[in-house]
Amino acid sequence: MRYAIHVDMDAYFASIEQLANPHWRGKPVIVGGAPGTRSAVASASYEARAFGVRAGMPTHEAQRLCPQGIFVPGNSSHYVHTAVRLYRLLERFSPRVEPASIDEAYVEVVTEDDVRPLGRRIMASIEAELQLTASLGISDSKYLAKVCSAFDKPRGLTLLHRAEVPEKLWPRPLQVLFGVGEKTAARLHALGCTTVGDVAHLPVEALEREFGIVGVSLHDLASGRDRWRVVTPSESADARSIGHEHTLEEDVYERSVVEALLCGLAERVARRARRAEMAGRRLVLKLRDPRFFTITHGRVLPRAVDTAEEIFATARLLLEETRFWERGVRLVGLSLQLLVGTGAARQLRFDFAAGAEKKSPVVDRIRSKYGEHAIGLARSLEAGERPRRGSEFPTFRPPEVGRDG
Amino acid sequence: MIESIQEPIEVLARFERGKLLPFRFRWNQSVFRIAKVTGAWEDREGQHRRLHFSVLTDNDDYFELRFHSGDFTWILSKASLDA
Repeated sequence: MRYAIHVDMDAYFASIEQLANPHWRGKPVIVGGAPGTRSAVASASYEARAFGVRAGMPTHEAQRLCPQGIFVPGNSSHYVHTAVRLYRLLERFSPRVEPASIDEAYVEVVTEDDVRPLGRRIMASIEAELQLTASLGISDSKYLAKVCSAFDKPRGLTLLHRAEVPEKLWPRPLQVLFGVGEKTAARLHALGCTTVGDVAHLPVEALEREFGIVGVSLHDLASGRDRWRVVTPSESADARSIGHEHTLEEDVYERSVVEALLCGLAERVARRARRAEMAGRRLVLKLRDPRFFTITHGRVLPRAVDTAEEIFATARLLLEETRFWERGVRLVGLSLQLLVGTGAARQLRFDFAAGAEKKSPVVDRIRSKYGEHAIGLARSLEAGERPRRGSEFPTFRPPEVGRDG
Repeated sequence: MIESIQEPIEVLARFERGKLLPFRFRWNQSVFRIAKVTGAWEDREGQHRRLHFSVLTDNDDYFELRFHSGDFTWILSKASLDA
């Protein structure tokens, strides 16, 4: 039988910080921005979760719930480094590993034996080699594997077969379903649904009328139908996106400043795309206003692009169409999607962008030699000083740290 | 209290089975002996690698050190200064 194993690291960022600094073990560690800023909690140790602190919560709210919490700015390079070690470790158990995010991955295995001993060996290897813990969900459905990895955290191992969906999934609340947040749950409530089972028993036509194609997908998930495959990084070129977003210290109402920020983001997205030898055919702009109202606005491009100039030109048009700066902007993001490899021959251009294509490799070489911020489009300077790499938390000092002993 | 320090330091380190391992450093005219490396990771600055180490000293003090592969310098990036 073919199984998907969902490996979900427990309180990943906070656990890494506790591992690095033993004085923080057993204490409420909260990874995110400083409490005085407008950042959110990225990860909370289980000691902090006991106070109600959750990932995604504003840090000022976390500080209110857990004033004795140890607020740590986070260290993305450490987390990425550990994630790569996790993926390599998992590849020893199966060649088919799909990194789902920095702290979770899917492993596809085929066995006619009991799959749980294999799951326990994976957990033991993670604990021995990374000194971190993970929770595993195992199923003959990738989606169910993800759902059930959360059933018994931390250090849990849950096996859920599709045949057990009525018994084990249907009694659970709607939020178990992928993509169901507060708003979708409210609309499902209006249809008379309070559990996953209610969604499964609803006629699919009713869900399709309410949610469109998403409704059909919800019905499939609630019923345990999932045509899945684990997508390894080498297979995922078309599915991935390359994006960057930036939360501003202060709300911005000036179009020129938002454009300058977009210019900087375009450079970073373009640089990453070229590094990955990818170009994208769709660009999506994300904007959030001071009341947390968020929109995304995208466009499919006539050809795949990977230069900052082309990405920025499209981003400006998208911004113009939204006129979002009039509401105030607190977050701006860009995402390049529908990625294709650029290793193959590319269509020649006869306009200004062809110059950008020639320029970009030179710019990349300058950045490789002198650093990421050595050169860039002048347009991005209007947003203020160019942020330096790793400067998201430049001056924050965590509060008083208790000491063992 | 964890403090950001960002000061150059002198470090004694050894290369062992393909790994770089700091074992002693001098800072503020004091010598600290590293009892345990509790974390090691890396990132890049330009084309150069930067190796980061979180360490505990004999006195159970916590520090983070950073080695720059371009100029072979060590920086004391963070320190836990309270007892």
